[in-house]
Amino acid sequence: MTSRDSASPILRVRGLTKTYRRRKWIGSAGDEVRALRGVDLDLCAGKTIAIVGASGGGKSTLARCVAGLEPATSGEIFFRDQKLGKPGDARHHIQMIFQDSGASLNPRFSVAQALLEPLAIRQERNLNTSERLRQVGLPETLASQGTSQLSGGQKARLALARALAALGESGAAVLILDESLASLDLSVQAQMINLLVDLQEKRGLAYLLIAHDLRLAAHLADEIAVLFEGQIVERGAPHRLFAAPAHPHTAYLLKTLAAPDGSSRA
Amino acid sequence: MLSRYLLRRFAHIAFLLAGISALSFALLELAPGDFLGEAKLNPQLSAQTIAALREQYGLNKSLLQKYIYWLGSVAKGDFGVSFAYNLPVSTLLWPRMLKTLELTVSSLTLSWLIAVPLGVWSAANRRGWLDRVVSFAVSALLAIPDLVLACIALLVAVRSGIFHSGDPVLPVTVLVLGALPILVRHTRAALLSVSAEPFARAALANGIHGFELWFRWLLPAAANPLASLFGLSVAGLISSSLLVETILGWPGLGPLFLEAIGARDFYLVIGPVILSAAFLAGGTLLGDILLYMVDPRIRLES
Amino acid sequence: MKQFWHSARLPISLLVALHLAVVLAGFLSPEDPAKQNRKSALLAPMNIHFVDSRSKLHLRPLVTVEGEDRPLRFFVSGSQYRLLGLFRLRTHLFGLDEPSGIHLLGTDEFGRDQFSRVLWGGQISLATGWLAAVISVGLGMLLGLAAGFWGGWRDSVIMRGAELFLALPWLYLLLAVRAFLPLSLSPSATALMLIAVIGVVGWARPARLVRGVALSAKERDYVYAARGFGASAWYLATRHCLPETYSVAATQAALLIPQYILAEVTLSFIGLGVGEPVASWGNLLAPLRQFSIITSAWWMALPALIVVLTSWCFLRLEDALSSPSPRKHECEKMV
Repeated sequence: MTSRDSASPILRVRGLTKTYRRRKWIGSAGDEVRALRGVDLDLCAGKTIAIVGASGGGKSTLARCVAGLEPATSGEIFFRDQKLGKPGDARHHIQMIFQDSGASLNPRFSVAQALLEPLAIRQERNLNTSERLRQVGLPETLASQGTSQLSGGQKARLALARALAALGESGAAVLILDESLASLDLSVQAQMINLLVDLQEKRGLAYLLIAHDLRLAAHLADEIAVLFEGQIVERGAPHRLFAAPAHPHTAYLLKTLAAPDGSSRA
Repeated sequence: MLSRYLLRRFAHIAFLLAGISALSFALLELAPGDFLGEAKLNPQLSAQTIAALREQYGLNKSLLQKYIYWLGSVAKGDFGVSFAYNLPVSTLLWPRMLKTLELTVSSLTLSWLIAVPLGVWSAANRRGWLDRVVSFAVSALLAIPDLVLACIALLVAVRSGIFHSGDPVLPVTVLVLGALPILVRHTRAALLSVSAEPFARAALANGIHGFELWFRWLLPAAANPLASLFGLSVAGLISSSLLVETILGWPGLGPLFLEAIGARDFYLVIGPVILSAAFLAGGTLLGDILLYMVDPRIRLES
Repeated sequence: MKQFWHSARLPISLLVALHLAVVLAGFLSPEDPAKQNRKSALLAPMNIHFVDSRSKLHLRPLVTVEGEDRPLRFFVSGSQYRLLGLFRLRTHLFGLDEPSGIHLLGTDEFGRDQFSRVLWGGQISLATGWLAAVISVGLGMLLGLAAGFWGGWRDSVIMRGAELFLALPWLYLLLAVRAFLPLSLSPSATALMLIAVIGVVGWARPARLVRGVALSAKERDYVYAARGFGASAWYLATRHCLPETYSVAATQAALLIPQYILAEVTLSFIGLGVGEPVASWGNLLAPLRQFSIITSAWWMALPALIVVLTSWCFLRLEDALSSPSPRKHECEKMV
C-alpha cells in the first residue's frame, strides 16, 4: 500500500449514486432524477481514464461528485485507500478543471489573483507566481492582466495552473478534466494535450477525463469507460473498444464519429 | 384553472393582511404613549377618571388580548373602536373609503387611458421633434413632486374660486398629472423594447404598420411589463391620494389616518393601514387578471 | 461612458453646486435662519439692482430696504455659525450692515430670512435623502446577500418579510411606522429618527434585487472552483458574490436618494417630520397650507422650486445611468 506502488489505484470509486429530487410543493415527494446509479472506478497514478457518453448520461455529475463539489447520495470514494468522508476532504489531492475555463475565472480578478486564489484561501505563503505560470507555459508578463483579457488557450492553462496550485507538491494526485479541452481550437487543444501529458509524466498525475469526443479520449486515455444513463456499461482499452464494442451505446457513440480513429496513445 | 388561481391569491392576500395586522399591533404596542397620554395634562380629569377610561377602552390589556379582541371585532365587522369618536372603526372608515376609491379609481382609469396611447405614440414617433418636446414635458412633470402639484392646485382653486371643496375635478387632475409621467415612460420603454424584437420586424415586412402595428401587434406583446406596472401604479396612487386628500381637503382615508396618528387612536390607525394594503393587493391582482386575459402565453401556462 | 458624461454633465454640475451651497450654508446665507423679527414679517423678496432711486449707477449692488438703498457688503461679519459642524465662524459671503437684513427670497411670518432657511434647510433634506438611502441599500445588501447566498429558510423568512414591507403603499407604510414612534421629540432627534425610519422601511426592494444578483452569482463556475479550493462560505460571499451587487446597489441608491428627500419633505410638510425651529425644505413649505399665505405671500412657495430642481437633476442622472442599451437603437423608426 505504498504511494509509489503504481499497481494499486490511488482513486477508487465504489457504488457512486446521485439522485436529484425536484420538489414542487412543500411536503410532496417530487420527481426523482437518478443521475448516477452505482458507478465503480479504479484509477492508478500516472494513468488516464476517460469517461465518455452522450449528454445527460451523468458525466458531469460524476466529475463533480468525485471532485467533492457535490455530495453523492450514496457510495464511497477512496483516495489512497482512505475513505473520503465529507465532500471537500481530498481537495489537496483531487482537483477539477471546468469545461469552460473562462467561466471558472472571475473576470474581476487579475491573472495573479486567480492563480494564487487556492493559496490565499489556504493562507499559504509559498507563492512562486512566475514559476507556476511558467509551468503551464504562460509568460510572466500576464500576471497583472485581467483574466478576461486572456485568450481561450491561455485561460485553459491558467485553470490548469490553479488546479496544480491547489494540489500542492504532495506527490501523486488526481486531476479531473470536465470536457476542458472541448472548446479549444485544435492547435491550442494539441498544445494543452502535450502539456498535460508532460505533467503526467513528470508528476505522476492521474487524470479522469470527461469527454464526448471519442477521438480525444482514445488519444489520451489508457482506459475508456462508457457512461450510459448513470451506469458504466462498458470499459476497456481504447483499441479494443473501437474494434469490438460490446454495448449498443458504445456502438452508437462510435457511429456518430466521422471516422473512427483506432490509433491510441501507446 | 383561473378559479383555483384566484382562490390561491385570495388566501395569500388574507395571510398578508394577517401578517401586517399582527406586525402593526406589535409595533403599536412598542410605541410610547397611547390615546389617553394627553389626557394627563387635562386638569379636569382626575387620575381615577383616566384610570377608569383606560380600563374601559381596554388600553391596559396585553398585546395578545388586544389582538384577539380586534380579530373578534373584525369578524363582527367593526374593526375595533375609535376612542376619539367613540364609534366602531368601520363606521368611520366606510364613507371615507368610498371617497378615496372615488378618487383613486377615476385617476387610475384616466391616467392609464391617457398614458398608454401617449406612450405608444411616443415610441412610434421617437425621432420626431414633437416627441422630444413631449418627453421633456413628461420629465419636467415627473420632477414635480405630488406635494408641489397639490399646492399649485390649491393655489389655483383659491385664486380662481371656481372649485368647490366637494368637487373631485381638482384632486383627480393632480393625481392623474402625478401618475402620468411614470406610466408614459414605462409604456414607451416597454414598446420600444418590443419593437426591437424580431417578430416586430417580421410584421413590418409583412406590410403591417401604423396604428395596427403598434396597437394590435406590439402593445399586447408589451402586456407583461405593463401588468406589473399596473400594481405599482395602484400603490403610487394610494400614497399620492393620501397627500392630495390632506392638502385639498378631500374627506377620504388620508386625513382620517393622519388625525388618528396624531391622536394615537390605536384601532383607527390600524384600519386604514390594513385597507391600503388590501387595495394594493386588489390592484395587483387586477393587474394579473388583466395580464391573464391579454397575454395568451400566461393562459397556456396555467 | 462618454455618453454618460455627456448627458449627465448638467445634472451632476447642478447637484454638486447645490450640495456645495448647502454644505456652506452658514457662509453663503446672510442671516441667521432662526432669527425672528416681527417687524420684517412676510416681506417680499428684495431686488438687487445697480441703479439707485436717483438713477445713479453704482458698481456695488444695491438693495432697497424700507425705502432706502443700501449697498451690499461682501465678507461681512455677522451671526455666528458652525461650518461643517466644526469651525465657528462669523464671516458671511454677503450681507448688509446692521441693523436691517437682506432678504433675497423674502421672509416668513416670523420675519426669518427665507434665503438662509432654504440653504440651511437643504442640509436636513439632502442629508436625510443620502443617509436614508445608504441605510436602505446597506440593509438591502446585507439581507439580500444573506437570502440569495445562503438560501434555505433564511431566504424564505427574509423574502416573506420583504413581501410584507412591499405590501403597503410607501406613504402609508412610512406613516404607520412613524405613528409608532414618539410624536414630540427635539428637532435633531426627530431628524435622526426620520432618517432611520425612512431608511429602514425601504430595505425591501434593494434586498430583492441584490438577492437576484446573489442567486445567479453563486452559481458561477468560479464560485464552484473556489469552493473546490476550500473556500469558506464567508469568502465566497464577500469575495465573489458581493462585488457583483455593487452596480445594482449604486443604481438603487441613485433612485432612492431623490425619493427619500421627497419623503422628508412630505413628512415635514404634514407636520410629522422635522419641526420648528429647525428648517427643512418640508417645513418651509408647510405655511402654504394656510389660506392667507398661499394667496398673498407668493415667495413662500419658492423653496418648492429648489425641490423640483433637485428632483429633476436626480432624474436626469438616473436616465443617464440607465441609458438605453444599443439594442434599442437597432430598430429604425417603424411608422
